[in-house]
Amino acid sequence: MGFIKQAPISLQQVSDQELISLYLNGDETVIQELLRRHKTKIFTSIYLLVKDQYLAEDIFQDTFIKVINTLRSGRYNEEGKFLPWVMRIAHNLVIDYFRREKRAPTITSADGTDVLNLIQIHEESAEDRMLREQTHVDLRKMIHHLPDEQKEVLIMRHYADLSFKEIAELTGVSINTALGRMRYALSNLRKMMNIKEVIVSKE
Amino acid sequence: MTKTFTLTTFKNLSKKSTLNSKDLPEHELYHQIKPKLDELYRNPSEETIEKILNYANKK
Repeated sequence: MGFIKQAPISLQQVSDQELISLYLNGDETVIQELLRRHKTKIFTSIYLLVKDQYLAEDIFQDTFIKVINTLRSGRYNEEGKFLPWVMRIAHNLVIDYFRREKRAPTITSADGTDVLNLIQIHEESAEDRMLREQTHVDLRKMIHHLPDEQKEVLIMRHYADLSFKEIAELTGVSINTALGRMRYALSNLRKMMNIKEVIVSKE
Repeated sequence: MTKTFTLTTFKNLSKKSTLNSKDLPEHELYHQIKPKLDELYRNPSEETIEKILNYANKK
């Protein structure tokens, strides 16, 4: 049984901002509802950026500790945009981690010229894995082979469900740039998928 | 020709009845890979959730 209990219907219907107000007024239980609403989006985004379940767990936990500390200190003023704010905290913690470890993913050109690395991915795949699991593995690898800026936008748009405006603000670029990066990301994913299909068909 | 790409292209895919043909490749592609992308969703462990809730409940 999970630790996140189903909130009363009334609590499920209130906005994030109202939940935060309740928390600031002493109702600690509303954190459960905020976690229930956003944990999958936030955790998946972190996981796909760091590629490690345990590290993602740590960063997810640190993210919410920062959230709680900020709420308690009265410094939260995001005017209802809770998820983008939490994603910004998570994003910064991921960047901090890569800076510390000095092993940030390789930055490649925006035209996706590194997509042929997929051949190497294919060769590294374990042949005895179940097809479904393998698909997940391959797709995660494809996402990781995207240039950093494209990967960020794809993850924030699809998994964190942020708008392009929010992504633009979070990453410090224009909306058009964010849109362009998403388009490149999708285009590169398609190239990689096509390459993989060719490889499979030759076997 | 300049290629347009609206903010709603990804957000409201299911709501659009007609699409700008200029947007179609990305739109189609997103539809194609969305189910695969969705399969990658995952959740934090219950242990991590418990730690966060314990921290939140600390006075």
